[in-house]
Amino acid sequence: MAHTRVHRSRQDLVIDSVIGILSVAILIASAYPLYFVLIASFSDPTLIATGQVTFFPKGITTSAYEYILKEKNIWLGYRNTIIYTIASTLFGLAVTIPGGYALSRKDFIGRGILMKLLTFTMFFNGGLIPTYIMVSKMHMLNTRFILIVLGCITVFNVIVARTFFTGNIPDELLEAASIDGCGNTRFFFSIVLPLSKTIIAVIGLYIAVWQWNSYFNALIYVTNRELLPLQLVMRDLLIQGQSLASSEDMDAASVKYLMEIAQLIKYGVIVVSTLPIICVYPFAQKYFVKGVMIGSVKG
Amino acid sequence: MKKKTRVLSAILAACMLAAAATSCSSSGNESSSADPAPAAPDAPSAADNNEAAAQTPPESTGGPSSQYFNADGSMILPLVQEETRFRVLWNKQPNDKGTMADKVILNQAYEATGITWDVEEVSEQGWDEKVSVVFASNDLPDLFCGKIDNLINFTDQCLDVTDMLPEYAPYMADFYFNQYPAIFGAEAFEGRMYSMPQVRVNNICYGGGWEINTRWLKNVGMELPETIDDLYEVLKAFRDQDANGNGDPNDEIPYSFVKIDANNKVGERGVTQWMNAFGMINDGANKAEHYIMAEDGKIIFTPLDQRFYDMLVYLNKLYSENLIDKDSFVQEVTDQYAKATSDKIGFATCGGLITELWGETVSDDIEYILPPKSQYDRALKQSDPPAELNLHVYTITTACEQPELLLLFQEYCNTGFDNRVLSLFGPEGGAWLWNDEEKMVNNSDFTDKPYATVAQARATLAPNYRMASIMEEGDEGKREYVGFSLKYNQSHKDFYGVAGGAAYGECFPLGNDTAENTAERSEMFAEISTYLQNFIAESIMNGIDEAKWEAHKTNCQKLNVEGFVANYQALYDSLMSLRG
Repeated sequence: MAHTRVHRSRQDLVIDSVIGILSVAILIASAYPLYFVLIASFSDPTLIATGQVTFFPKGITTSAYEYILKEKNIWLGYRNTIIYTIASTLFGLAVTIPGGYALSRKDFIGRGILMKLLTFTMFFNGGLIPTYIMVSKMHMLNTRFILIVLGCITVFNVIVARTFFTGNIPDELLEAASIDGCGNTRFFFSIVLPLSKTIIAVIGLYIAVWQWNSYFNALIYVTNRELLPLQLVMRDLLIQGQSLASSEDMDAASVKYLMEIAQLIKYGVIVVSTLPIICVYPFAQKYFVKGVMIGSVKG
Repeated sequence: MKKKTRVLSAILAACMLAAAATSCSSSGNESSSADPAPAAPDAPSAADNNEAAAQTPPESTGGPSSQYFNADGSMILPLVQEETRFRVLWNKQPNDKGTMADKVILNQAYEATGITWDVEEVSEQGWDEKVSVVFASNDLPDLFCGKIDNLINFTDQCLDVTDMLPEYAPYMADFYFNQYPAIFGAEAFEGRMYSMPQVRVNNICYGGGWEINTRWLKNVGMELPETIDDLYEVLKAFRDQDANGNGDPNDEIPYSFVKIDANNKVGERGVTQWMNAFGMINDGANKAEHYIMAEDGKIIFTPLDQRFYDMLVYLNKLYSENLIDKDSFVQEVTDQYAKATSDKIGFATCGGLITELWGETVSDDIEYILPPKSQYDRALKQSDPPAELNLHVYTITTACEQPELLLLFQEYCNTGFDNRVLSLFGPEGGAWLWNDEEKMVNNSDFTDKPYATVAQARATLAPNYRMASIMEEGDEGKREYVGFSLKYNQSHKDFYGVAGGAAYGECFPLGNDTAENTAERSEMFAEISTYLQNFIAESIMNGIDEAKWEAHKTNCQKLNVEGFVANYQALYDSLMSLRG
């Protein structure tokens, strides 16, 4: 088969070049801060502060990681965050996917009203104090359950799921399955779910990333330090490094710690807390790209 | 369709009206539906007192409760026969590397009194949010241990302990009411105490330091500067010569400071420390730095004073001649530290210990100097009394059914030197040691300990600033300062002593205003502060002349500085009249 070469005009070349240059510039602007954090976490803090670290680490040291990783709370935080992330993602998916599917079904009576009510809650909610009172009255303060459940189901995700099912699961499929004697439950589990890997991956990733980075719920609803997620432990470490003690306590070790180790910790904390979730992205990337297109093309 | 829209609009409007009516009625009912407060006998509530009431301590009526105290004043222990538990919300310090079980004084107090705390630890960074939520939802613990900055807004949910103190905490009552009424004035709202402070008497709190490298001075053949003109010449020599002796005459930074806007602590490490050299202090209510000062009983706004103008002119001269680090208005403390420890800075207006800026190596060459003399007298702010004071740290709420036991518990922790030391510093061998002369010195050996610094050791082993700990003047006398700490403390004596002669006599008295006035001042200062930070930086970098000064005066007028000063004047007059 002959390969036909498309003629590219000069204008095309110029536009392509501009787009290419812009893309590279955006890539550098996005990637360099991440790269800098990484090299800074291995560099001498004095050299960082004097602007001598730009492209490669200088005065290589691992003291930040030694300090961070010897904190027993880090491992506790990791464990908790992993538990919260997995449980929250599973729970969120278990509600969001069937919910989105149900709302996509035209034979679901009252779905219009239900959808409006759900959408209403996207813009209007009780706020922090009523939520706190409710959680307190339900005796869910200081429990893992509240951190897993609170916030893992969002109307936005339900709408994204509904949009996916509306566009990708045609009514004819259900009719064909019904003719073969397939009920609603079997249709959902045996036909819909296998065809919905993309949306499951996307929603799962949304919930997992949100939960991984979440700290506010723990800040308000949990005081038991055994239950704190990684982000709060890291935040503690970071603030610990930045808090000035009284001058009387400012012995040489304190100062060295405050000015040098604490600065390194700042970068080390970012690496330690984001690396695991960054590692998840490549595996979900192909679904994620498809997922963000959901609802963007009609037909 | 139109009809439908109309109906919908009508329904929505009705809903809004109903919601508004409900919220009005519910807000009116809130206080009555709240749990009844076990108020102290005859304690008037803050709400009953709209006008600024006396900040003077109440006359003590009656002595310690005979139920809990022996005739000789000692506490009858245990306080309760059956274990009594209290729910406590605890502000966990970032430096605390342990658990509540590490706080020796608490364990000792549990055992001695029979009282136990069920502590809910809240990280310091989430403390303010948590406290606000807890108050707003009325899900109150028995006790808050940790500073509540906006306590003035929650006094109706906190127990007024004023009249209970003499009965259940006589040592503390005597300390607040009789020995240091100024501290009572700072803690109380409209003459009533809803919380208790942590206090260390004689722990000098002046945070500013004028620090100069004497090796550099020697290298350029000059003496310690005494006047602003001397300092100008010294800085020029630092700039022009190889003052640090590394062979490069161009890498010296004569003078460096850090940006003004560090949590609004404008005087701590910033350029406003120069106000002291030009006869001004940066004063405000309860040690705030609100650019006001009292002079002959009259409150003035310093940035409108001729001395401030002269200060800006002088600093602009330094800046325009490259004597000031160009990064000063943007750099962080750590940036300055990196330069100072690399021996690149000759002079700095700073705070705290020398090592805090210069590191261990360069610090040996650094000396504190007094604020250089200008055409005006020097002035330094001093606290009244000289004390470390953390207000509103031990707060019993109206939800507590036996508040007297929590007062007794705190009283126990403050009883005797040993307990007081345990409360603030922890046990010997942690943050401190006894030396050969039976003086407390900072520990430096933290081998195999979960903490690595004195600050961490104190936060781990002691309640520290989370309880109403008291260190008396005599207690402080048992502490000994060595090395750079000694130098630091000596510098304070020099500043305030005969040589410095700079302790300003009309510092703003400690004391609280009404909630309305405090909020009004705070709102006004938020705008004023932002404007001033820009104005100061602009004036130093680009210069100031009469025209700019006049424009500045107009801007201040627009920011209602007049009202701000009037507000302060009223508070000052009120507090001074109460002092007689």
